[in-house]
Amino acid sequence: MKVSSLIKFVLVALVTLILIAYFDLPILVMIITAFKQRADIFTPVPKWIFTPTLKNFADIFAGTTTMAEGTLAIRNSLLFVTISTVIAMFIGSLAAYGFSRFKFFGREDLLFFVLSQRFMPGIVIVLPMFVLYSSVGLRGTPLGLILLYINAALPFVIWMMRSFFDEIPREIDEAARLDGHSWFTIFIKFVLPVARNGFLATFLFSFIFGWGEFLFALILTTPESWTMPIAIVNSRVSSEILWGQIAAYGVISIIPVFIIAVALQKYLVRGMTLGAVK
Amino acid sequence: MARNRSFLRIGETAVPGKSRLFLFFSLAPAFAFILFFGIYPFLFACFYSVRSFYFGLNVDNVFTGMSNYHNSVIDPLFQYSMFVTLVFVIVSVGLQLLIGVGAAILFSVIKTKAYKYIQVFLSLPLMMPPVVTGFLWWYLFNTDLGIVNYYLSYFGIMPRNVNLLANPITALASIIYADVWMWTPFIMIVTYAAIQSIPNDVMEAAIIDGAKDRHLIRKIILPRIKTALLVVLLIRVIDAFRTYDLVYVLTGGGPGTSTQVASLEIYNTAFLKWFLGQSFAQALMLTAILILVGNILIYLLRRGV
Repeated sequence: MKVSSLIKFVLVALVTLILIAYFDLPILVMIITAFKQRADIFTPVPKWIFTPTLKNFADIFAGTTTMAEGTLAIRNSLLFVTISTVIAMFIGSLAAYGFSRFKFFGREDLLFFVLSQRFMPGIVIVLPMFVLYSSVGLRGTPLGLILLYINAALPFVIWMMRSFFDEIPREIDEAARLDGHSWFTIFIKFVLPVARNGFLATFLFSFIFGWGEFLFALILTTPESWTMPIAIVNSRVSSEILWGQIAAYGVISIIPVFIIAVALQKYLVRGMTLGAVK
Repeated sequence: MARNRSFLRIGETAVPGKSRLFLFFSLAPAFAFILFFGIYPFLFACFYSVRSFYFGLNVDNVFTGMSNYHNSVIDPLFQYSMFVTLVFVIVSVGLQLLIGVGAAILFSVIKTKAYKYIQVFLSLPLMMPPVVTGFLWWYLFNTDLGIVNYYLSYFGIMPRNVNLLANPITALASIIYADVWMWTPFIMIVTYAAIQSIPNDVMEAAIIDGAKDRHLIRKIILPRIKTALLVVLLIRVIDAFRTYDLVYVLTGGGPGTSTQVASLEIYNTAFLKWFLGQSFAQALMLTAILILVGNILIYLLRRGV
């Protein structure tokens, strides 16, 4: 190894270490705070060595504190996000298939119209929906939020799935057409199974986005339908800030998404750019 | 070259009668949703943005022309919120680009096999729910308990008892810091992938021709990742303009209204004053800015830079 390349190596190793520390140390602090006892949190000097406890997690699940809504919010989040993502996946994939396989007038414009929905400020959508939902009694109901979440996920699903469908040779469709299958059968039986990895990746990304959604839930939910982000924010209202429990809450909320993230590394770039960069 | 499809691709299949029916039914459900939950609220906002529309208050709901828009534009609070948003977008996205692209180039110039594993660790902030990120930094910036104050004072950079979130300048800086923390990995990972897609022989030919690293970066790498950078810029700039959750949790717009970004200001007009008519006007002005910025970037993209 030449000296210059050795220097280079050391330099990069150093920068890598700094970057990892910069990006992961805060998360580490949250994780260890979740396992700290109250006395270990309220110290003037940050404590890195302590006796870990599961009390913070137990408190959330037992509902013994002001965060009694904890388990309910976790359940709500899981339920709302899963249902809306599943529905958005099927509606969106179907549309993506149409966009991918047919050439028609104004197709590109329609696609960019779909994309523009992804870039609409959430507040423009949610304020009118707040008024409408109030008048039809959908405010605070799971249905109201799920409908909005489906719509919010659609542009992403359509663009992502279209980019996956575009990669599947259309000879598959044409051969199946000659065998007399309908387009819908071809979509369900032949194309979707080939695109299953992309389908799964798109599903998981939509799940991550829905899992962290805040503004819609903030405006449209009531304590019974609070999702996790809302329950976390509202836990601050109590007289004493329960750092340990909030941290435990945070840890619970990042567990599913971190597992997904590790599984999704291959599709990360694609997922974060709506399929525009592969 | 069938696999190497460009950003936009024109399909080959003509659409005959029966297939036309399928095409219609494949698009219909998605567009029904978008019409009802995207276009309808938009039109609703347009309609009520020119009326004195208060929610739940006993105020006459009448047509008032452009006065909601006019009153917003001349409102110092709204002007300031736009200004803060602009500063936030420019500084935050600028820093993210700088660090993200820098790190991506560094990793690709050195060609480390460990990148695959490094990326897992660097992508974690990206996956956190924004509210959790906000809370995390709220904790880290806490005067008494946070490690930021502790270690900054430990190394003599500032006194311990300074509340970073209580000063307008440092509060904004703290928000930007947290946002940079959250989104730099996004730019880095996408840029790195774009650099990796540059054919090896192009790079090797340049190296054999005696190109220095900086020439390699300026003449080979940067021109070839333009599209990816534009996509990233589009997504980041627009999301930064809409930022809500991070600021809501971290400073709540404070101290005072010093970090009140546009979305927060709109929210307050709606839910503190209950003046939805005016909040619609403000939200639509924000939308107009986003449409303008978005269209410029999309135009550049469709043109192929």
